[in-house]
Amino acid sequence: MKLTVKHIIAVFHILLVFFSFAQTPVTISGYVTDASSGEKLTGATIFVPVTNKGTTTNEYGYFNISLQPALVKIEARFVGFEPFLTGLKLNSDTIINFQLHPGISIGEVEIKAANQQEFLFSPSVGVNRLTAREVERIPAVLGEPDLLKAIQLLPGVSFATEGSTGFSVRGGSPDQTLIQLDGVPVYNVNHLWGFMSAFNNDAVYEAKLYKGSLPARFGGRLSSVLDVGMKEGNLKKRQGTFSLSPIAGHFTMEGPLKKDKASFMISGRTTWANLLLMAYQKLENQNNENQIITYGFWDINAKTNYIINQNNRVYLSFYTGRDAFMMEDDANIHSDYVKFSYNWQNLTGVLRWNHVFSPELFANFSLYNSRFRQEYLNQFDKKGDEIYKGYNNLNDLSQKGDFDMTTNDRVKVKFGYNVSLQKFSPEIISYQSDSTSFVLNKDIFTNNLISEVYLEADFDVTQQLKASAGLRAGNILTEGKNYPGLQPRLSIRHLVSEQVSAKLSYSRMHQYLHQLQNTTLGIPTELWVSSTAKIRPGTSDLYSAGVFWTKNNGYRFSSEIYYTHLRNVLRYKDGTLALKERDDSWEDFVATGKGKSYGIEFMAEKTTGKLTGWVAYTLSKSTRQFDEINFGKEFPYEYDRRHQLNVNANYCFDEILKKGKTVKRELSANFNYASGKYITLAEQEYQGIPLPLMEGSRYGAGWFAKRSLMNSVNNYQMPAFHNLNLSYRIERQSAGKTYAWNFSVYNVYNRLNPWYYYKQGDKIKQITIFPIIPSVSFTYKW
Amino acid sequence: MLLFPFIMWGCISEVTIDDDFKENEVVLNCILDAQSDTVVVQLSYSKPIQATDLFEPIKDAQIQLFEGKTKIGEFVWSDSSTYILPFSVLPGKIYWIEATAGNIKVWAETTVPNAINATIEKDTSGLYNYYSFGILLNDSPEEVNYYWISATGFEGIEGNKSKNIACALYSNFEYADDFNQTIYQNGSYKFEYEYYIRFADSVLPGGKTEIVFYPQCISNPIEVFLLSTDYHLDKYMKSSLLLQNMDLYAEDMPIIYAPFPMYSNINGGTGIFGSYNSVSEKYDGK
Repeated sequence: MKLTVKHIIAVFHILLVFFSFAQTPVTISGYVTDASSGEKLTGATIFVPVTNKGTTTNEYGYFNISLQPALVKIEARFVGFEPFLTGLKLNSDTIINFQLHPGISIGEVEIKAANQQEFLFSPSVGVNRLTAREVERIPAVLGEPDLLKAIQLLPGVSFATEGSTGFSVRGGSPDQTLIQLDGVPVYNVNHLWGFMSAFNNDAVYEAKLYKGSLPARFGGRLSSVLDVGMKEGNLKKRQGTFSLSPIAGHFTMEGPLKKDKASFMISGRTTWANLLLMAYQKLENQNNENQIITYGFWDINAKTNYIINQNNRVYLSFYTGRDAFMMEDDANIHSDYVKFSYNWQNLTGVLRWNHVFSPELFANFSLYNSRFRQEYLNQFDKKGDEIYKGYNNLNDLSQKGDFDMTTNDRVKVKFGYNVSLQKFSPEIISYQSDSTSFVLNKDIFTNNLISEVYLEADFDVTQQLKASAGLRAGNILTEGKNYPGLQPRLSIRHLVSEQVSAKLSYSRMHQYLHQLQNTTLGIPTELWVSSTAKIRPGTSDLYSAGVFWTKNNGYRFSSEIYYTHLRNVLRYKDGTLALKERDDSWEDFVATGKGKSYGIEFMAEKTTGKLTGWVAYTLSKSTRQFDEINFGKEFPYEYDRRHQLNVNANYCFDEILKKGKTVKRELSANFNYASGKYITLAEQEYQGIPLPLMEGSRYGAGWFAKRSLMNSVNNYQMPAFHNLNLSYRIERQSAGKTYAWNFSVYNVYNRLNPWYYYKQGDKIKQITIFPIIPSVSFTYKW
Repeated sequence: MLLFPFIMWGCISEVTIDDDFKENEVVLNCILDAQSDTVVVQLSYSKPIQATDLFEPIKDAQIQLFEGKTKIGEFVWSDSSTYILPFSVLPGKIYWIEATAGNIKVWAETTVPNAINATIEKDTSGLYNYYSFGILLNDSPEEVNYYWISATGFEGIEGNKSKNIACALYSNFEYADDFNQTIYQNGSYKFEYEYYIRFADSVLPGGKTEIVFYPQCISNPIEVFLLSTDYHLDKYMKSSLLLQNMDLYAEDMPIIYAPFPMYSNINGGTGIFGSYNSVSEKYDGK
């Protein structure tokens, strides 16, 4: 048959229809939420078995996945919820919202899918997730669940001192972890001098710690990111929680403002540590009834969200917390009145708007303000006319936009921007009286402008090889000086088999803010300062590699190695307290140096069944080097712990029905071991010379005859730390109300762990602060 | 304060530290006084912190003093376990000291502060305590000065009195350094300072400065001093007092103890080579 033009045109048309039909993917998008509360489910898996493709929901519970048009089955899964399976005929972009019902047990296939997506398939290395429920189950000092203390049980995270919330991730200092609450940086996360964190577990939904590969959407810190999400509030029904522990009380209320459309959540917390203090004062100050010493803290989390329509949602979140210490001496003689107070306060507020531009493009816009202030005050008269005050302020106003885009079935893109205006007012001192007034350091403040953009893409190179590549470009303008910088990010995942993957990552990070610390106890003598014309931003290079393995019965194993190199890190020079005048700038008293840390981490987890938990072990080393400190020699970093082992286990007994009430019981255990902390001890003593006019005087004669000699930093390692903690929780549910008692014992075998060393005369003494401590706490939910 | 219950509930025990540290260091201490006609040097070895023996003086060292590049003389060993050199240092001059003990050499430099332009009077305003004193200072803006105020007197019964430095000074002077300050209402005074009131001229507003204060723990005859120290002695004094406070308060509140490095300007060893100038007035109470 002769080939004619008509034949060619016909074939062309057939091919055109074939290719356009075969090569144009369609997008399925929507939200995954908890059917009982309407709360978003972050990290839920959307899986299409026939294509072996899947995705997870973002932090707003939104997903989109690009597929070839076909008849497909789609599964939505989330651990602890009944999976949802549905069939769809995909001809065009489709919106589908999944509401999953809470369930207890899930089958093998479901576990496999849930484990694989985030743990195995994602190119991310060194990412750990903790839910508020998991934090609640970890035995804690005085029965008070604490997110930041739970974080310290993960591999690669080391703690400052026992019971404190200060932590270091892979050798970084505490200020090198970006801690954000609903996307807003929180600049001081300590209550009670570091014994409790600023995060009320009742208000928290979950937290994610990024410590290996940091996606390009994160920036501003050198080591890691702790991303904490608040609950949104139950969209279906009103509920509340009230709990009491020996140290604090909590109250949380949430519910719909308009069912399935708008909700609120408010949570408050306060301590009655003041009662302990007052009891102690009665014992010690029996003859001085006019002296009052008080200490207390409180915090409030509040949030509301409104679903305008399928494509628009707005959220308003608010957090404030304050610690206040006060001593007042009123001898009933007006001229002898004196009051000293010391307080610190965080305040954050954020307005967010989610907008779905199209099934392929999701965006979130945030406008936030985060403030931190610490203040000390001396008042010499009751009216407050005569005051001596010092304070530090940090004010951060930012606007950012984050976009999620699915271009085709093999590539997902995120991009965005961030603009921040920050003002630092460190070390302001003011004095006022009837006759005089002055302010010192009012000109020593910094305004800076940070502007950043980023782009990251997740793409399948081959069926086994997936990569995530990104670039963050930013600039800080401070004191007329610009510090531009590029921060490349790369993660690669090779799927060895259906159950094993190997990953590599590299991240370059910049940090524009620094925190100067005098102690590691969380006592707010820390000072947040900005990079300036004299002080450059910090830089780090993070290298990680790991192997990840899952088993079908809920077990998963990981092993990671890492190396971190830090540059332009800051530290006060030795003896700054003696060298610095009140009106000197901090800039003249800091040394700039470098640091490195490396290590290997192992983690084994069991995520389902009656017995769950994990074992984490880290072998690591972390050092610092400054030309002006320790004679320029490298020294161990304060958070360097050579070995760390954490074992955490939870066992759920079978539910029983008793007198019409459902009774749940749970036993939890936690064992911790860490190599001793490095401290600086005076190595020697030497002969002192009497200060001018002191020769022959009896005052201080003994002491001034000698001085301590310290020639190296962190020159002594304290003995190892280890303890065992147990808790037993019993919960009774009936008619929608739950009563729970939690009995816990901290430090079961009464190990006298060294908490602090100090010098008394010629002797060195050790304090152990937490011997065996039993406690009981109560929770009521309705 | 809040930590006291925990600390009391907790356990305090003694610790033995391994003496696996560095070798003993050579310690040189010398403070030049512009009003004195003798220069005194202490030279000794440091010792491990838990050793109970006394500091070992170095007896056969060679110690030389230079004014600029001119050698002034060599020190001689005296019965009081120190080295002495009869010499009056001059304000404004740079002095260099060098000590050689065996194969170890230590050295340091200081500049003696210039004369102080100030007057000291007994306060007769009646506003403050009867025993108050006033200093009127005319600071020179061309140089950097570190000032220390104190007083010496006597305590004890007649016939058995001993000379002492004032244990505390009370003042409302708002420009004083607060490192040794306590808020303490004492009559008209708000601040208590331990042993000295210190201030640097960088914080002064300019012009003449008046400081009124009241010294405690001493009685007549009282001598009031205003010292002007060099940078090194200023830092040595401040770090000494800070460390002394730290050790003292750590006995009651161990939590505040933090190792504090002593200031030293001795190269090759440790100690202090500093200098000061002074003005003073004596009051016998008549």
